[in-house]
Parts: sequence; C-alpha cells; structure tokens
Amino acid sequence: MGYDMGNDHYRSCVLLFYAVIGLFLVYAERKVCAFMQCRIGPNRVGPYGIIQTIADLFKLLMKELIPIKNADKFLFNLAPFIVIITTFLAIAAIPFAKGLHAIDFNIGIFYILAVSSMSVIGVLLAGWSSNNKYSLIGAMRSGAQIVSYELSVGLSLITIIVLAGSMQLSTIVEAQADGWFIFKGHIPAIIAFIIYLIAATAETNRGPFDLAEAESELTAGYHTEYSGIKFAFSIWPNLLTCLLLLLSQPLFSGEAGCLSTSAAGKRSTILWIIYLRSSGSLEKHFS
Amino acid sequence: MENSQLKERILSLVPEAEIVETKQYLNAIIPKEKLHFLAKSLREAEDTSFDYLFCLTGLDLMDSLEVIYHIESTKYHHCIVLKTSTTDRENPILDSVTDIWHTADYHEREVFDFFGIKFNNHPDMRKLFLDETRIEGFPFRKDYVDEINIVER
Amino acid sequence: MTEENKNSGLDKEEEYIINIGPQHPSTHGVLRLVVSLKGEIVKSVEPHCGYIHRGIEKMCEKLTYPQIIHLTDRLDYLSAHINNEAVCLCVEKALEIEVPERVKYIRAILSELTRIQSHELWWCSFGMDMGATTCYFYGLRDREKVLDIFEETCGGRMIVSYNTPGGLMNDIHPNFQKRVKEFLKHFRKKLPEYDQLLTGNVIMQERTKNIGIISREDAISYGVTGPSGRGSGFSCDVRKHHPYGIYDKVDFVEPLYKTGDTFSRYKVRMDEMWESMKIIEQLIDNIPEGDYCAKMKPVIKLPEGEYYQRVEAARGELGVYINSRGDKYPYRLKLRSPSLSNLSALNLLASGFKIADLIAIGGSLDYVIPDIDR
Repeated sequence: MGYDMGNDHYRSCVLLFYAVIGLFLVYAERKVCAFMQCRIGPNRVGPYGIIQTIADLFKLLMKELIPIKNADKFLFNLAPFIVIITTFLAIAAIPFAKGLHAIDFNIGIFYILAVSSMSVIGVLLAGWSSNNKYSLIGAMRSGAQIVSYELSVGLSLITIIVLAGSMQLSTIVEAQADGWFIFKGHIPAIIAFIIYLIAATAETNRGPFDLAEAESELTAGYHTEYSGIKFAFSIWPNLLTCLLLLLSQPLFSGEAGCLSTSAAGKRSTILWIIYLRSSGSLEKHFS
Repeated sequence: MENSQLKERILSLVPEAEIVETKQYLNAIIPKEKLHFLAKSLREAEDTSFDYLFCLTGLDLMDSLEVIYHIESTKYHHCIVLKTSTTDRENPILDSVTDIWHTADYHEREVFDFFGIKFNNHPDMRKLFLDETRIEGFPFRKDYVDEINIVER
Repeated sequence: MTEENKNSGLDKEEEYIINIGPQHPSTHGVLRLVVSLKGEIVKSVEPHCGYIHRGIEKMCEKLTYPQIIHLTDRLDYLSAHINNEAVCLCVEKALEIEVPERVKYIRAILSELTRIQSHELWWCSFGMDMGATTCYFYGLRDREKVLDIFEETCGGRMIVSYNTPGGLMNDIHPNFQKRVKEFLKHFRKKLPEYDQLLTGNVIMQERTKNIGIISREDAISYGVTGPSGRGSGFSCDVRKHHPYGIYDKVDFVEPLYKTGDTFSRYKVRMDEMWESMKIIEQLIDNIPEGDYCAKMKPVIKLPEGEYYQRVEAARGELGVYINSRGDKYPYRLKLRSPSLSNLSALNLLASGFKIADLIAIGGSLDYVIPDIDR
C-alpha cells in the first residue's frame, strides 16, 4: 500500500494531469497506429515527433471559430463545454493513488455514473444545433450507443458495490487489501469485469464502436461543424473518457490507481495502459 | 442461332424490317412503332432469349436521329443490332425499352440529354449529365453550334 | 381520418433527404447521391452524375484515331491500358490488320497487371470505407510496384497511352520481364496477407454478408457486368465469351459466386487477382520476338461502316462503337461504360438497408466516376 498522498498539492496535480494527458495519448496513438500501418507517424516536430501534439494544439487554438449561420448559437457553443465539464467531473472522483483524488464522496460510483451520463446531452446538443443532417445522424447514433451501454456499465458496477458493501471509492479500494475482487469475487466479478471493459470501451466511442463518427460515411459525425478549439473540446473528452476505463483499476484490482506507489499498483497500471492503447490502435487496424 | 435463322425470325415478326449483314453483327433497321414489340418478342422467345442489352447508342444522321441497340443472349451468346430512327428533329419521340431491359434507363436518359430524343413510358425522363442552365440544346447533334465552348478547326 | 390517410400523411413528413454530395470521402469521385432516409434505413438512392463530364465522345469526333487513344486513358483511369487497347482493337478490326504476336502477349500482360493494380486500389478503398484504414497502406504499397513497372516500360504510371493502332508505341524495356517476375513473386506472398487482414474479419463479414443482394436475372437486366455481375452468377467475362488478343490461348478460370451479396463481389475480385497472376505467369516467359508494331499508314482512315469492340476492363465490359464515314475522324464514337450500368443498380441494391450498408455496397460495385460521366 502506498503512502497517503492526500496533500492538496498532489490533488491539484491530478487535475492538471487531466489537462495534459490528452496530448500524450494522442501522440501515442498516432505512433502505434503508424507502426501498424507500415509507416512512421509524427517524426518531424521535436525528437521522435514528441512535440507534434503541442504544435497541433497551438494550431487549433489559432484557428478561426466559424459561426454557423442557421445554427442555434447558444446551444452550439454550449455543447462542447457540457461534454468537457462532465468528463472533468467524472475524472475528479477517480482515485489515482491513495488519497489522490479531488473528491471522495460516499456515493462515489453513483456520482461517476450520473455525471458521465450527462455527457450524452452534450453530444446530442452538438449534433442538433449544428443544423447539419450528417451531424444529427451522428449524434443520434452516438447518443443511442452511449445510452444503451450505460445499462451494462451500471449493472457491472453494481456487482462491485455488492462485493464491497459501499459506494465510496476509497472504501472499495481498501476492501481489496487482502486480494483483488477479480480473485476474491470469483465468477461474478470476472463476468462483471469483462462486461465493464467492453461496455466502457463502447461508451468512449472508440474501438470498434465508432459508428458515431464513422469518417467514411458521415465525415465527422456530431462534431463536423466545429472548428478550432471547440473541435478539440469534442475530441478531447473522447480520449479522456478512456480514462474512465482506468476506473476499472481501483474497482476490480484494488490498487488505487495508476499513480500509486506500490509495486502491485504499478503492475496493474501497466496492464490497463496496454489494454487502452491496444484497443484503440487495433480498432484502426482491424475494424 | 445462326444469322440466317435470326433474319427469318425478325422478318416474320416485323416484315418491314431491313436486314443488313455486316462482318460483325446482323443489323436490323426497324420502324419505330414496331421496335418495342420486336424487342419484347426477341427477349421472351425461348430460342432467342435476348436478355442482355449491352449498348444503347444515339446517332445523328443528318436527316434523322437514330438509336442503336446492341443485344445479346446470355444463353446462346448470339448478338444482333437493332436500329430505329425518327426523322422528326424538332420533337423526336421513340418508345422506351426500359421495361424489357432495365439498363436502358440511364442510357436512354443519356440519349435524351445529348440528342434530345424523348422516350415514351420512360420512368424518369430527365437529363443525366448536362446542366440545363448552362447548356441549351443538344450537343451531340451535328448542327449544334456553341461559339464559346467548341472550337471549330 | 382513416387509417390509410393518416399513415400516408406521416410517411410524407418523415422523408428525410440527405445529400451524400459531390465531395465525400467515400463516393470515390464526384458523384452526388440523393438519399431518402427513414431513420437509418435508406428508402431510395438517386445518383446525380455529370460533375466530371468532359464530352470525350464529342471531342473524339474531331480527333484522329491515334489521338483518341490519349483521351481513353482518362475514362476509367484505373484500367487505362485496357481502355487504350479497346480502341486500338476496334481500329485494327476495322482495318483488318493482324498485329504481331509479340504485341498480343505484351498487351495481355500489361492488361492483367492493370487489372491487378485496379483491384488493389479497390481493396484499399473498400477497407477504408468500412473503417479499416490500415488496408489503404498495405494495398498501395504493393500497387506502387506495378506502377513502377508501368513507368519504366510505358513512361507513365497511371495514364499509360502505350497502345497505338497497329501495336505498341515502343518496345518494352529490357528489364520488363525480370521486374514482372519479381513482382509476381512478391505479390504471391502478400495476397494471403490481404485475406488475413480483411476477409476473415468478423466485423467486415457482418457488414458485407447478405447486404446488397442482386439476383442473376436482375444483374443481366441492369447490365451489371464485371466482378459485380460475377458475384451474382452472371458469367459475363468478355475474355471467355468473345476472346480477343491472346486470351483464347491462355488458361484461366472465371470466378463465379451465386449469392450476389457484397461479400461475394468482394471474393470475386480477390479471386480475380489470383487468376490475373496465373495469366501473367503463362505469358511472361514466352514473349515471342518480333516487331512491336505492324506497318500502318501515316494517316489512318477507317473504311465506311460500323465497328464494335468489347473488352473486359477491370470494372466490367467496356464497349467501343465506331461509326466511320471513311474519314480520318470517326463520325460517332460511343464508349459503353461499365460503371454507368453498375451504378444504375445502386437503387435496387441499397433500398432497405442502412446508410453504412450503402457505403459498403457502393464500394463493392466499384464504380469510377470519370468512367460514368466520360
């Protein structure tokens, strides 16, 4: 068990981590995809192309925010913010290490589920207010997909709540002090784990579940009409919802998150990161 | 079937037909009223069964507008050519064969687009390629003049 | 209001028309598809063509026959060599010229290479339309080798213009045979990789099996030829039924599948790549010595009459109809395009399926828009 990282400094670092991790995830995905596709990927900007995403971020910040003539302006501008804020709120509750989370509700899991469900509103608003038939179709597809997988996620999390006896995330982690739920809970926990993995991947609109932004049919789905930083606000939560998959770590394997200092925690972190990257890149390769 | 048998069959169905044998295919020039009837009979008869229309061409002979149908039987692999024409250059109308061969749908629209020949009973008689606002008239006709877009040598 | 009236009013309001417009990642060119949707189900598809209509047939009425060859490259630019060959064969048939054997062999080898590279590009874009972006890179990597062979021998990668009435413009490069044999050896190893990558993938199979079914009778009636027709069991290979050039002397199989769905059209093209390699292997070592062009008059004038030549392009049956009045220009040149007939079946194929299926069906029909519009 690692030592307590409940210091406020560390907590604000978590939120900063959220802001910065997107850059690294994008770079990692581009490189891995490129290697699978017999090409090199970003390699010009900085050594091995590391600064590529930062350059892309600057570019997006400098792009003109094109206002759409017949779009509902208030909703159009509001939608990306809803998506980002809800993802932010959800990430805040995930324990990255012992005590290293921004909020520790006693209804932790319930809160995360509720808040991440709200992101559907942002997606649907984005599609509807764009005044573009393609966006609407993409938003409807995305909304339908997220809502349908919510049920599976919720049910699999209930298994963990039952096994731990509490909804508070730190309690769930401590309840696994003598063994991960996957091993302790035997078959129900394993089934819940597999269902959670698949359903949470589907919720992120990545993996083979990306029909909402099927590029070859709908150009870009619900974020077609967004430009500049608002486009980034739509893409970013997409990547960061991957972090919700990190939720599976404290829940199923008991080590409190990827920044925990214990050896077992580091091992399980590596496993989850490998899963995340491979599911994202394989999707490009095989789907 | 051999060319001679096909010739007999066509003449028995449409006695006014004019048969010309070239080195390649048997050509049958049919008056426009009889074309649909002949095409349907050739398609439906068991021993001819011309079910594949592989080319539909429009042609502007100076005094008349002609449409040429190259048809083949996928069963017996014999091919013939049916031709029909109309001398009316102001308002040329012919019968459509879309109900016999569906491929004629787009090809007849193309002929209408380029030559101006309208087809009766066509499900959707509209231009296919050209834009009405920019091109007036029927470009493939020999008397079509366009000083801006066509450079005459 | 009776039950009937209520329903018909509702149906009219619910018609949702989207425009898969001229610029779109997966229409393979400038084609406008006006799609009428009900939810996600396609009710009807109406293609609007003409965005790249260049009036090639009209232009040909003022060009000499060797000049026409250069325009035919630009029809279906992926089977450029086969298009050139079609016009050359028509002219040679009209003049009753026998080209040297060497020419026939080389034309057949280049045609089959053209077919392979066209199918490779089709495979790339088909995979990409389904979302499997990696296919694009793998296919293009191998296509580059074919294009390098073309560049060395014919001077152009895609727009070759190597044929001329009477034979070829120039003799083949000395490295030609060696490079073709190297390519065959390389490609034989890569083609099973394509199968591993895409054919067996569950998602791909779910998206293509039983989607866009066309029966054999409909295929014949709509004139759907080439691999799209063969996927429905319509045996339409011009190389088999009306052989030209050297095709009556080579041994190959025409792949036919009975189901008529997208997956069988896909399989036909994969099998055709194997068959093309087989044909090339039979010919590449036996190219006879001789002239690369028959003796032709400086000005080619076709005798009066009508001539029709059919060839098997990568997409289907390409027909060239020349009506000549004895002049050095054709009186009328008509090109029967395979893609136009294939496209005419799109409404029949896609109605009742979802938008995503429409994209898959369009990809499997493999139309090239400049071929449709000419």
